[in-house]
Amino acid sequence: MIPAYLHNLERLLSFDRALARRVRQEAEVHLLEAVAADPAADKSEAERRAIAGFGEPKEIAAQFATISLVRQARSIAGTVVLIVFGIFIAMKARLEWYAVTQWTMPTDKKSIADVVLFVDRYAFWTSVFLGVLVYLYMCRRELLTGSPRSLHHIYNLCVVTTGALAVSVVGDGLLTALQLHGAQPCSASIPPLLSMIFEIVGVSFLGLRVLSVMRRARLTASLLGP
Amino acid sequence: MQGMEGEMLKGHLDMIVLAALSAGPAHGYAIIEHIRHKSGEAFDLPEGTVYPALHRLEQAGLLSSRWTTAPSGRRRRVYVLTKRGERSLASQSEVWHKFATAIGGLLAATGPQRKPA
Repeated sequence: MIPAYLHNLERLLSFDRALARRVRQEAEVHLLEAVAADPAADKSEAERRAIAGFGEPKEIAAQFATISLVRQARSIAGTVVLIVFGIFIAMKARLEWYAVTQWTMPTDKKSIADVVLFVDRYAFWTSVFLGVLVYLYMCRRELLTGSPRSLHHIYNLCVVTTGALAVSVVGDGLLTALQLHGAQPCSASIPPLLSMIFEIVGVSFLGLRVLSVMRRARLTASLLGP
Repeated sequence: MQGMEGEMLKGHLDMIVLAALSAGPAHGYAIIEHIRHKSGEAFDLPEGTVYPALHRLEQAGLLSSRWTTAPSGRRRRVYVLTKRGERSLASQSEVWHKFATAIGGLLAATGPQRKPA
């Protein structure tokens, strides 16, 4: 009886495997202790009482779902802030490298580079502004209570921030390609390429994290009800 | 507990759990037993609801936890009140005492209601 109950509880919490495992272990210990403490001679009756006392798996899972969503929102918000900062550093480092090596944009590509730079700059500062908003939301106390409105705002902000950052990284990629195009392959082109790889990996990681959290949020929505 | 009392209990569950842990580190089952015993069996909540509260309080940094092995060989997750948790309990306790005193005074002034003849 207890294994079936635990299996059901773990299944309902499958949107967060680590949480499901931990809750199952704790619930198992609890139920076994409750059965051991029950004076009833009939073991199955003691198990039935222990399970009834523990409560409905769906109700318990719904409470854990809210906790999980809050944790994921905080984690994704922290990731957004870190990635935006990391990309800013990579961008600055690349520009410093161009300055140190006196590597200027070829004049025939200057006009297109100016347009890309304009879009890139605005997309990046939009992502910084949104990143700050995400951070401020993360610091709000209401988030700890799992208010669905706060969580919804966090997720939406993260999606828009990631979008703006992706546009900025594409812009950086185009600018780097324009800068390096036609130049002889040399060791001086390695730092800009590495910084671009860092940016692409960073924004891809963020995009995947946001998608994963959104998917989990959809899975848990069924537990939380309308 | 059912209905209104159940709702009241849920609203104060975090404080109740923190208060139970102020007696010392304990695992989930022991916390529930402590609450039941200290409340004179008045707080008989669905046991499973205490675990989400424990996780939430841990996430908020008011508790910490670790797996330990009991003398029986059974592994248990033991929860401990953090410094932040102690401060939060003191603050919630103060608010609660003020509230209870105010309500007590109000009800004492009201007196028993008489039924119309």
